[in-house]
Amino acid sequence: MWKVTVGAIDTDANEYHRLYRRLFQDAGVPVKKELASFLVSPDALPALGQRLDVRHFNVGQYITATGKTIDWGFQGAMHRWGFRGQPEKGTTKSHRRVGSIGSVGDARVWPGKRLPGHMGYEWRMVPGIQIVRMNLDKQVIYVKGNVPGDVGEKLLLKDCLQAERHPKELFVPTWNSTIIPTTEEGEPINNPVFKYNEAFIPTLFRFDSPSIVFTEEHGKKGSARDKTKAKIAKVKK
Amino acid sequence: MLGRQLVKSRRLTGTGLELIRGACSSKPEQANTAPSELPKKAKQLQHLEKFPEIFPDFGQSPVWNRRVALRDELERADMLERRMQLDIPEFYVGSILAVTSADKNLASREHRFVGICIRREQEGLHHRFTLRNVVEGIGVEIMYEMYNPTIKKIECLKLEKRLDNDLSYLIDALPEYSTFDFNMEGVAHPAGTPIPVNSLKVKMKPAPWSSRWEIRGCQGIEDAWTAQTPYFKRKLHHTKMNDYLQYDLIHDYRTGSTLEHELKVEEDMQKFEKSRHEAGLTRRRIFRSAAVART
Repeated sequence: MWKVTVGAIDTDANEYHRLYRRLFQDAGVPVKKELASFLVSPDALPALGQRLDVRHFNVGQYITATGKTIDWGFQGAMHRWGFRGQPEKGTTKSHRRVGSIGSVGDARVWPGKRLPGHMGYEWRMVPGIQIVRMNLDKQVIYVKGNVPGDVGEKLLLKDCLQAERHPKELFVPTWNSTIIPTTEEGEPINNPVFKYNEAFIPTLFRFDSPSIVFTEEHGKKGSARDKTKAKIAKVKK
Repeated sequence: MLGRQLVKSRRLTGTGLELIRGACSSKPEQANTAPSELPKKAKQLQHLEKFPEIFPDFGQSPVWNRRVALRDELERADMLERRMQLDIPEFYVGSILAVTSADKNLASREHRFVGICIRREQEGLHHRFTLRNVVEGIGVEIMYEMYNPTIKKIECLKLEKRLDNDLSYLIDALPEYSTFDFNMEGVAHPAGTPIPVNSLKVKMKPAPWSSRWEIRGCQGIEDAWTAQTPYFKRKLHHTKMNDYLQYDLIHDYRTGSTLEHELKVEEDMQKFEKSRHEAGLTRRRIFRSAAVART
């Protein structure tokens, strides 16, 4: 397995020191703000300095999303650990407090006792997320479900490692940048009025199709047998 | 854009505060004295003065952190596509709507519900409205997501506004105020006339209610303060209401709509309409207003 480092977001090189800038010189790319590393098998290695595209993944495949969760700041025990607190009525000055932190016999507080403190901004992995749609012009991936992190935070995506959801036939190399294909007159494919190059999974609703309408076959079939037909025994061979 | 909102809807009486466009108190020589191009663009696009009221789903999220330009643009593309497939009429909270949605468990495979719109929430594709009606003596509220693909038809049977932007208090009002006939015929709104405001004040059921309507500032309730029980009246009059909110400019800027954004959305709508009409599939119009007569 090789360690592949990916950079994102071009920034001003003057704001970084010589050693950091050298990383990008060898690859021949502008200095990047964010870095992330992945373990890649030798047959799927991208070239040094290769620009990655959303088409690296396929629509319908499952991925694992990793990132820093939302930063909730200093939070009390009820929000941080889900403690039940104390009743509103009949309790003096204590409604959202931790309560007891130990017993007389132990004569100490156990290490790791759940108490108020900083919550969130932790590295978490959410596996088995399906990619349902991709916008190739805007380089946007639509996934089904939730991913860790706040709006604007970086996210690491990789193929799902769980056996049931691991992509079966992976075309390697997954995608290569080529010259953007243009039409015969030389105008770019990007039509400015909300007509994007998009990929969908077959079951996802597309907004340019009419409303969903149900027919007879969608209806629920009763579990009771059809009394209009004769009951004939099935003979086992 | 603070100046526009301030001048329009706020009156800071007694302070003499005036926001002059282009003023910069700390470095006046660096202030931008060029006039804004927005009024010219507004005229060119035939800007609707009440755009945030007519199209609340095209507004920006009131949470500043959730205003993402790319996400909003992509959602807007989907919303406009959907509006070309389904005719979504103009309506307000207080209008009576009939919604026909697809339901696979019913014999006719569709479900029609008539009710008064009591609230409209969220921006973008998640925009939802709630219809209320009293069916066989039981109050029923159904929340519909406006861009849900199972919705087959939305008809506005009666286009009108009420004194409030949120009619949730109808749950504690007498049932007659929430009862609407399922077979009622639509009342057409003559194009170009202003939207009628129904200044009805509802009578409430005996207190206590599900919420403190008397301090929530509901204009459409008849004498809520007197009708409330003495237990709640022992609390201060402004327990939950903050009088300073009407002067909070930062809150207004962060949650409200700006002319720049409205013009951008209008431009997108008109360009989209034009391109789809030229493609020849449909002549449905999205950018329209019932109060403005269009030629």
